[in-house]
Amino acid sequence: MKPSIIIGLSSVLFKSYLRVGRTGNVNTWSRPTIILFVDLLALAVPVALLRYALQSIPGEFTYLLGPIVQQVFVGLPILLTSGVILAGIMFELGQSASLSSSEAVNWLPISPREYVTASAASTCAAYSPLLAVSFGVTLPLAMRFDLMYAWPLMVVLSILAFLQGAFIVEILRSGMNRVSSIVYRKRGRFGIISRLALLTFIFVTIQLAFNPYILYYALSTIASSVDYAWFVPMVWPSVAMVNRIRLEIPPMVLFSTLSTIFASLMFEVASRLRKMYWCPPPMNIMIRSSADYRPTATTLSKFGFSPLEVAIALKELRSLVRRKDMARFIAVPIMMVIPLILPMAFSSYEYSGGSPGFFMMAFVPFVVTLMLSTIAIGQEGRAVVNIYILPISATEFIKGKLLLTWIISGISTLGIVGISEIVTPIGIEDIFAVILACTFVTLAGSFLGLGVGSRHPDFTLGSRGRYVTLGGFLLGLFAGGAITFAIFAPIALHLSSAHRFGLGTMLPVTLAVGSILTYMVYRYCEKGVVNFLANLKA
Amino acid sequence: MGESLLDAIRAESVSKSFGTVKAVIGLNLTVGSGEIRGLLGPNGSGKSTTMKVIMGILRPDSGKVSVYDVDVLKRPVDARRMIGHVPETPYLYEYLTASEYLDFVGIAYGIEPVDRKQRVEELLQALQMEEHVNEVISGFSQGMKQKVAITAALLHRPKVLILDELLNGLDPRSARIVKGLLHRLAREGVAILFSTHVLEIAEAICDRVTIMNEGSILAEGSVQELRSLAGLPGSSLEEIFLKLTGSEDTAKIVEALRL
Repeated sequence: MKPSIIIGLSSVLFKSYLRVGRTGNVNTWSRPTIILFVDLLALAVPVALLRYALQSIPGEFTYLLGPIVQQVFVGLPILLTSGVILAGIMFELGQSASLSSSEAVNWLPISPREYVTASAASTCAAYSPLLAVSFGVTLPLAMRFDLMYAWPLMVVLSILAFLQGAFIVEILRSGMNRVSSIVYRKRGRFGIISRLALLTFIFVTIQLAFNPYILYYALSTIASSVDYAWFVPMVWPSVAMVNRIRLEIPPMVLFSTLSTIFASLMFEVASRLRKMYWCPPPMNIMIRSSADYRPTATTLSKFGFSPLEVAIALKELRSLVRRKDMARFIAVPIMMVIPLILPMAFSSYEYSGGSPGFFMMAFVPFVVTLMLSTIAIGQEGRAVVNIYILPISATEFIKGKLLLTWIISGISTLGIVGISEIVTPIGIEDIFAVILACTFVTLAGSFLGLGVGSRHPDFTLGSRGRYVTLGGFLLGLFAGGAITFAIFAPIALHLSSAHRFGLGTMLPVTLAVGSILTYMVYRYCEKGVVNFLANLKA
Repeated sequence: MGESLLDAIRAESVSKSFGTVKAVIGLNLTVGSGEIRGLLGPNGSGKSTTMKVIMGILRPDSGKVSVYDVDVLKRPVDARRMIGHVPETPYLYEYLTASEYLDFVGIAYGIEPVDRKQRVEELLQALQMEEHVNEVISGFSQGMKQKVAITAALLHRPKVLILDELLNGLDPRSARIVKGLLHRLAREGVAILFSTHVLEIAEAICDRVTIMNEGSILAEGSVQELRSLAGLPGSSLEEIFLKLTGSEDTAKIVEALRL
C-alpha cells in the first residue's frame, strides 16, 4: 500500500462528499480543511459549556448521575459504530449506480486495500464531528464524575469503533452493489417494492436511532446487558470499557485486543469484497419479462383529469417508488410524526379532547403536501428538459404534478384523522370541520409548494439533492406554516374555548379564509409555472 | 428536397444573453418545409441556444420566432405539437422503462393507444430496440438512450424536427437508418434543423448549411455556395468551416504539443 495514493484518494473521496452535485467555484466551505475547523468547534463548544454547567450541579446529584455517565462511556463506542454505519449507508443510497460503475478509480492503478483504506478514512473524516462532539461532551463529564482514568481508553476505543463502522460500510457497499443487481434482475416490480420498503425502513430506523427517548433506552440497555453480549464482536469495545471502569485490567486488555483484531478482520473482508465486486456492472432492469409494448389506458379522465395529467402523475409515482434518492421523501413524514407520537405513547396523560391529536391533524397535511409539492420540479433533475419539449400547458402541468401529492396527502390525512380520533377523540362534528380545514391546507399547501418549487428549483440529484433551494425551502416552510395556522385558527379557537365559539360561526370563517388563501396561492403557483415553462432552468 | 412553399421555421432578429455572455446576437434564420438545414459552429457558438429558443424553451431577450406561423413566444404549446426534438444529451427519465417513457410522450402528444403501439413498435424495431422495451432506461448505453430519444421525437409525426447532435452514440447501422429516415421525412415535407460537429455527415445530409460563430451567422447556403463564398473550390465542408471560423491553423497547434 502506497501512503501517497491513500492520502490522495481519501482527499478526492472526501472532496466528492463535500461537493457532491455542487457546481461553480470552490469556496472555503468546500475545502477539506474545513472539517478541522468544524471538529475543533465540535470539541471546544461542549467542553466550554459543560465544564461551566457541571460545576453548578450539587454534590448529592453527582451520586445519582454517576451511573448514567458510566452508561454513556460504555455505550458510546457501539453507538459510534452504528452511527457511522447508518450515515455511510445514507450517503451510499443517494449515489447513482451508473456513477459507481464509471468511477475513475475503477481503471486507475489502485489496489483494493488502498481503496478501502482511503474510502474508510474519508468516511471517518466526513463524520468526524460526531466523534469530536462525543469527546467534547465526555471530557468534562469525566472530570466531574472522576472518570478521567477511563477517558483516554474511551477515546482510543471510540476511534477504533469508528474505524470498525467505516470498514463495515465498505463491506455493505460491495454487498449492496451485488445484491441490488441480483434482486433487480430476478424480481422486477417486486424488487422495486422490496427495495422501497427496505429504504424506508432504514431511514425510519436512522431517525429512531437518534431519537432522545430511544437513545436513552439503548444506552441503558447496552450498559446493563453488555456483560451478556460479550460474544458479539461489535460490542467488544464496550466490554473493554466496562472492564476499565471496574478496574479489571486483564479482561480490558483482552477485549481491547479483540476489538483491534475485529477491526482488522473487517478491513480484510472489505478489501476482498472490493476485489471481487471491483466494478459494479450497470444494471438492466426488466419490469416485465415479456418484450411486448402495451400502451396505458387512462381512466381518471372521469374525475376531471386529462390523459396527459394522469400520465405525469403516474410518472411522479414511478419516480417516488423507483428512485432510491426519493425514498427518504416517503420516510420523512413518518420520521417527523414518530417523535411527536412517542412522547404520547410513553406518557400516561389522558389526551381525550386535548391538543396533541389536533396538532397532528394540522401537521400531517401541512408537512406531507408541502414536502411533495416543493420538490416536484427539482426532483426532475436535468431530465426536466423532457417537460419543456412536450406540448404541456401550465394548467395541465400543475394538475399533473399535484395529483399524486393530493392522493398521498389525502390518504395520510385521513389516516392521521382516524388515529387521532381513536387516541384523542374530539367528536364527529368537529372531525368534519377538521377534514374541511385539512382539505384547504392540502390544496393551498400544494399550490404554494409548486409555486415555490417553480421559482427556486434545485436540479442537483444525488445524496444531497434537496430539489429546492434552501431559500425556497424556508419560504415554503414559513408561508405554509402561516397558511396552515390561518386555516386552522377558527377551529382551534372553537376547540380550545370548549365550544364557546360554535361551529356555526367558526366553520364559515374557515371556509372563507381557506377559499381566499387557496385562490391567492393558486395564482402565485400559476404565475411561477408559466414563467418556469417559458425559460429552461436546468 | 421538396419545394420550399412555406417557411416552417422563422427566427427574426433573435438575441439571447446569459448574464454578460451574448449567446445569440441578432439571428435571422428561416428553414423551409422539406428542407434539411445543417447548423454548424464551434463549441459555444450559440447553436444549442438557437435551437432552444426555436423550441420555445428559452425566452429570447428580443426578436420573434414562429413555427408554421405559430408564434412560439405566445403559443409555445401549439408550436411544440408540431415539433419533434432530440436534445444534445438525452436526459431521459431513467427510472422509467423505454415503453413507459414512450407511452408518456405519446400521451402528451395525444396519440391514440392503437396508433401509439404501432408507431412505437415500428420505430423500436427499426432501431433494434424492441428487445429492451420493458427495461429501465438507467441501464441503457448512450446509443440506446439516443434511440429512445429519436423514437420519442418521431412518435407524433412532427412537421418540424430540431435535432441536436442526432447521431451521437449510434452504431453504424442505426446511423444509416436514421439518415435514410431524415431524407424520407424531408421528401414528405418535414422541415429539419440539424446540428452536428461531424462535417462529413452535414455535407452528406443537409440541403443547406448555416455556420455560426460567437452567436452570429457567419455564412449560409448550400455546400457549393459556401465553397464559392470561402474561395475554396473543390474543398470539403471541413476546410470551408475551418476557414470561415478562423481556426485553420490546427496543424501548428498539433506540432506545438510536446507529446
